Amino acid sequence: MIPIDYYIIVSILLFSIGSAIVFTRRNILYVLMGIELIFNAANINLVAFGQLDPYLNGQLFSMLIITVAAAESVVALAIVIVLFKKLNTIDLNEITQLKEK
Amino acid sequence: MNGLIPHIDVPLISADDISVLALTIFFMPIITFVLLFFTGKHILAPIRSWLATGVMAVMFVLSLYLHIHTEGEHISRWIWFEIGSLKFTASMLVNNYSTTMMVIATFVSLMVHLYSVEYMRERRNHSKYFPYLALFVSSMLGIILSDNLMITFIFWELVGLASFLLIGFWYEKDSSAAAAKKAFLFNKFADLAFVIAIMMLFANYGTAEISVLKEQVSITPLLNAGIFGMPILIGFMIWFATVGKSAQFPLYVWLPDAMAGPTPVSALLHAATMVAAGVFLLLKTSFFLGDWVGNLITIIGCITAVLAALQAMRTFDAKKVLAFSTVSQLGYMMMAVGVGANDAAFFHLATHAFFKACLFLSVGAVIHSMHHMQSHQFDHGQYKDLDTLDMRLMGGFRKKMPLTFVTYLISYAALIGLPFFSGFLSKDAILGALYDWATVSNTWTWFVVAAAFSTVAITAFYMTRQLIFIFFGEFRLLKTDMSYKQYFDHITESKWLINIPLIALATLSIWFFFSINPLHAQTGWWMKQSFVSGEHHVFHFFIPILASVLSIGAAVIAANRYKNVTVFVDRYVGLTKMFAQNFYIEKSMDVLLIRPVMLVAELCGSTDRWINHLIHGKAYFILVLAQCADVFDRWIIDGSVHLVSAIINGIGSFFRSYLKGNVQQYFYFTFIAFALILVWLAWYL
Repeated sequence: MIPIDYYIIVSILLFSIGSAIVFTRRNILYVLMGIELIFNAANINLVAFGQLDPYLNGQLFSMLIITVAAAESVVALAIVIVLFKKLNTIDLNEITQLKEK
Repeated sequence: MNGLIPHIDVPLISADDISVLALTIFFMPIITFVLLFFTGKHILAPIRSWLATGVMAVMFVLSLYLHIHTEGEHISRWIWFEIGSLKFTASMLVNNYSTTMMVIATFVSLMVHLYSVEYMRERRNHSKYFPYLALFVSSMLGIILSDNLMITFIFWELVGLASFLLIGFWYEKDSSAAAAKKAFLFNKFADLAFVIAIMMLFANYGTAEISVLKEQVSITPLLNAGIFGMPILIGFMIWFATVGKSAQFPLYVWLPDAMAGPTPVSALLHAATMVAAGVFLLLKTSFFLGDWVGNLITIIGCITAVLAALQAMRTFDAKKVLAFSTVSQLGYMMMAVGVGANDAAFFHLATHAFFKACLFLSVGAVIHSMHHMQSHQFDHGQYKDLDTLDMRLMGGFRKKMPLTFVTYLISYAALIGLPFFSGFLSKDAILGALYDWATVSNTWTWFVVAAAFSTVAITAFYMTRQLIFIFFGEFRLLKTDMSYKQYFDHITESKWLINIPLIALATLSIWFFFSINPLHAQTGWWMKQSFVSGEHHVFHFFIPILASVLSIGAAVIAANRYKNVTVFVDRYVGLTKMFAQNFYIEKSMDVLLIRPVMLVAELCGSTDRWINHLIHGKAYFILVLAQCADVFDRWIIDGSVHLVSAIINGIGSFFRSYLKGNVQQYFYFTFIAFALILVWLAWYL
């Protein structure tokens, strides 16, 4: 059985890559993909630690997260479409509507 | 009293034929009133006069029929309204006594209506005159028939209203309006006592039904010994109510002023409706009168009789002489009520109704022709202000209007109590009752008897004075203004519409309508049928003789005194002034009642103003306090709250200034914050 440290290392790597994408990319679609990677980092942790649980609660929970992430990415993509329609751009540097006027 | 309303069983009685007939008579003038009041202007003047007169004639005939067919008592009583378990009843009593009064009232009203058809022709506001008369008569019939004091009170007030409307009929004259107001207010003041009496009745007996009360109330010697026993006090209050309507001292002063109304109205008011109502009510409720109330009534009646007769001696207003004589005669009736001679009082009320109406209408005929002279002169392009009521300007009408003279003479003889005339019989009955009363009572009672007898003499004196002023001598107006000569020559007897009532009323002032025996009424059918108590009077032979001698003597003295008077020099100016001012009754009322009340009101007013100042001061104080609180609130409390929020706001905007609206930047900060929390957690755990 693969020791649990490897899983954690993979998870950290995935989380770091996802975060880096989220922080650095200007395209909103890349940012969404980065978020997906962060989700999956969490999922790996859940699955790995879920092995130790005789009831496999952690693995079940990761299934739930995958489902929710799918639904959530649908909503996110819909928001992106609306944003594009309104502002005609998907560059995050130009989308600053959240700032207090 | 335990706070409960005492319960007396009041049986309900349905109306029989007699009561229905009486009710019909009562409602007839109401229909006339409503019809003529609302549509009078659209009906021709002769039609509306004759309509009202016709209805009155029918009423008289029906009343006569009712009187003939009434035997015993016919009571009918209904539920008027109920409040919870309290039942208020309305009732009507028809007996000989009330039908007699109805006959008198309707007859005098009929005569006055006939007279008015001619007298009021072409007078201003004619369309309102007959409805008011109808209202007057119907209210009077209401008082006569009602057996319930509450119902009586309603009609009592309606009589007051009708008299107000009729006295002030020519309201564009200030004196008329003032007289109407005076009559109304004086009556209202006395009516207050009526309300109190009704309240007392309800508190003590729970009902105001006269015939029920009559069986319940008995004035025992024990009650008579005390002063404020309950039925006695009620009797006092009812009497005080009649002091206003029946013009007793000191409230009689409204009656002479009431002469401002049309003359037929004066006749009606003095004979059948207004002033008779008081005496009639007192006779109906005489079972309430205790000893001291009876004495008080007699004394006040005596004072009234003497004072009014004295005033009549010195007035030159033809109608006011008669008004004062009415007041004086009412004093007689009240004296009789006070000593318990109810039948004598009622008898005098009846005879007085006829001869006083006749006197008024006769003098009215003379005044009418004086008016005609004035208006003839106006037609010839001259207007002279002429006091048509001033007896000093009259004289010599005997030859011009012989019939009026004869009717006046007959009623004059009846009033001063000459034998063979009705007044003699009734006055004799009253004087006899007074004499009987005095013989069994204290010594002071003889003063009352003496005053009553001297009033007989005074009455004869002032009536003879008026007779001579109006009908004898020369026409004195010509002395001051010869331009009236041509008109005076043309004066003739009045129209028949005026003469017929005069003749009818004068005929009824002769003895045989009341008693076959011209010298004593006790044997007459009147006293047998229409009396109230039916007690027998001892006949004192010297009383009629003394009264006749007194009145004839006074008449002769007056005749000699005024026979050749042509120049009027007032030798007793002070006396005349005092009489003209009604013995300063109004002035003393002003000083004793009105001024103190005004003073108290003024005091209350100034106290009130001071209280107002205080309250205003307090309000200002509170206002200043509120301002201070406002400032404190605004700066200290609100200020501290604002300060806190401003600090927090500052901190917030400091941090907010780092946010540029970029999503990734938010994420970045979140990430760092999360990391810091983790570090912090790691540090501590």
